[in-house]
Amino acid sequence: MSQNSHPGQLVPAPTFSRTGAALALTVLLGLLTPASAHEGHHHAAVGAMEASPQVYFKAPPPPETLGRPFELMDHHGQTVTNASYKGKWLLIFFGFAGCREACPTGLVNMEAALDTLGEEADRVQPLFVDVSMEEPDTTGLAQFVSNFHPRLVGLTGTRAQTFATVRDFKIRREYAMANYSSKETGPRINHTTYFYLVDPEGVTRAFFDHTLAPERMALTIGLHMKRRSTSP
Amino acid sequence: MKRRDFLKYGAAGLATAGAGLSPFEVLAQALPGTAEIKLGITDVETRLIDGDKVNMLAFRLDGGAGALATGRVPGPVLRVKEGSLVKIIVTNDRQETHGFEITGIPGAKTEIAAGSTATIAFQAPMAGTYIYHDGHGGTPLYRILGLHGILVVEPLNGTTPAGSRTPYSLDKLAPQSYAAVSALFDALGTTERFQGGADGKWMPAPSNAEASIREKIWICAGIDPKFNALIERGKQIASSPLTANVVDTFVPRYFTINNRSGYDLHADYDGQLPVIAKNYIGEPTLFRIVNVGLAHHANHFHGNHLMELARVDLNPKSTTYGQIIVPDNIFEVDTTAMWPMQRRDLLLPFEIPPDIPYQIPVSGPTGSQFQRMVNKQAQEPFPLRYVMHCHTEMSQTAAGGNYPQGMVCHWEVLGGLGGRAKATG
Repeated sequence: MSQNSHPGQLVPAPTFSRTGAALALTVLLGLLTPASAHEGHHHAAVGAMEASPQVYFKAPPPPETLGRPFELMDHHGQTVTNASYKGKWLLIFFGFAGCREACPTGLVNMEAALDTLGEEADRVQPLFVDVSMEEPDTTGLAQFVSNFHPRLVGLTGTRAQTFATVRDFKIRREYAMANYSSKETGPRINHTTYFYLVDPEGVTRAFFDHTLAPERMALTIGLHMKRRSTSP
Repeated sequence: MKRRDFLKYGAAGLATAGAGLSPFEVLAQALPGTAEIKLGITDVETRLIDGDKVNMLAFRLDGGAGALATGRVPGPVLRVKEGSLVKIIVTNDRQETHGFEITGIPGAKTEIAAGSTATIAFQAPMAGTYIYHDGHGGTPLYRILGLHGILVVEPLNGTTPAGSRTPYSLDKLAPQSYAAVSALFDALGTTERFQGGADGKWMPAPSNAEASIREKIWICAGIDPKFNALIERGKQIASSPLTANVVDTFVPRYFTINNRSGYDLHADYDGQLPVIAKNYIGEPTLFRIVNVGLAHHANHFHGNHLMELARVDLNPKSTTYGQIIVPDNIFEVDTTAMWPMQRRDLLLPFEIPPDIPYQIPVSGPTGSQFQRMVNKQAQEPFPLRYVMHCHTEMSQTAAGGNYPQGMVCHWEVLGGLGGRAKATG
């Protein structure tokens, strides 16, 4: 393995060990900070990985490379873009309104994280983007988002609009047919389950998993907001 | 018809009575006839998987229903009987000259000036799957823009001595191929492996239907929107560096089956050519798969192996170049190599899949045991769905890399033996 691996290059994953766990944590923490800040960790860890079996994973993309201005429709049927939430940080989750697993779990965590943030949370606009491929169902979406944070807005759109958005945020979605769980009534979508934190200028600053503890989520969001407000 | 032939078909009629055919129908099948088909060349707008819209060239069918009347990609599935006199009249609604030809049928080729009509007439050759398309000017330009479709030739003598229908002209096959095809189609529905009984016998689709529960047409293709941008309604497609060198400049961004991909393949819609095979254990479905695109594909099926029935010899050095090859040894495959302009027939036997359900208490269940076992499960009840995806991996994507939005679909097991009230079709 060369000494100059960086995000985007293939690097061997560690075996399951204490070192491996520490490295995994390093990578996870890396997700929470701008890519440039943790490049050194990769370099330091390369030596330890050399002896491990050649199992490969792809380093995550820098958050700044994800997302672009979007145009979608909210759960009231109104067209919305980034500009609709001027001055706000966006906390975006992608999923589908029929979801009974990652989406409710993530959105409950989102609500708890925003509660933890306290007053700071007023500067954050929580968004849920329905990435299913059926025709938009704003009624179903409105009903779904009403279960979570009171300011949560559900977004959907035409095929072209949702496709562009998932392409820009690199959201993976894969249809699995219904019936795999008797609780599901429609098609199931296996999808990317990260939260994306977008600053008021429209730059994605971080992404993190939906199962991250709400306190950690709040801490991350708070740190990013503080960092941007002190060093513009 | 000679009296001796009549006796032969009469006997076949008795033997196939169990498959739902009256002796009169058997006689009708044995008679070639005439077929007159009127097509038009037009342009249509198509929405791709990512919501982008492109213009395509399309065949329309005079007297066709729904989308077929106004133009659809792919063109209508045409079914004719071997030996019959086929007349195809093509009207060109566009502003540029087009062509019409059927690969594998010598002489079935013509040119149609803008706004005019041309006719081809030919005697339907030996049974099999043929591609009709527009190869005007010796380039695949109009073919990849949507002017392609399937001609199915049904056999005149396709019934085995034991009374099993097959898709091939048995009297024109080499003895070993005849034996192999007969052995397989006779085994269907009658052996421990193929348990379907009378319903397990393969039946051709009705002559006026594009597809049936036992027969599906798959047309693999690719779309490069920069070529589609050349099409404007009411305007001629102008010559350009793109049209001058199609093969080198064509970079497909979408990979399609019957002009749909990814999620849009998960169900069949009115007026579109059906894709998803849905059937019951023991009741085989014939796939006629062709590739009209410019990329290689490798359709890979989960759940069952397929019997490779026929293909076209694409080796230009071979003595049988361009001919339909019915093998004398029928291989079972899970992946099939689809080079551009390849045509293959494969039989999906709808055997009990080996992996599902995991609670199965016996290793070799009968179809009806299987039905009962699956019915008891909450996790994976019928329909069981198995993936079909393209092993030429990049064709599983669309719009520059979105996976799985390309050549990816599935087939469905609706139930075990005796799992339904029998319906026609």
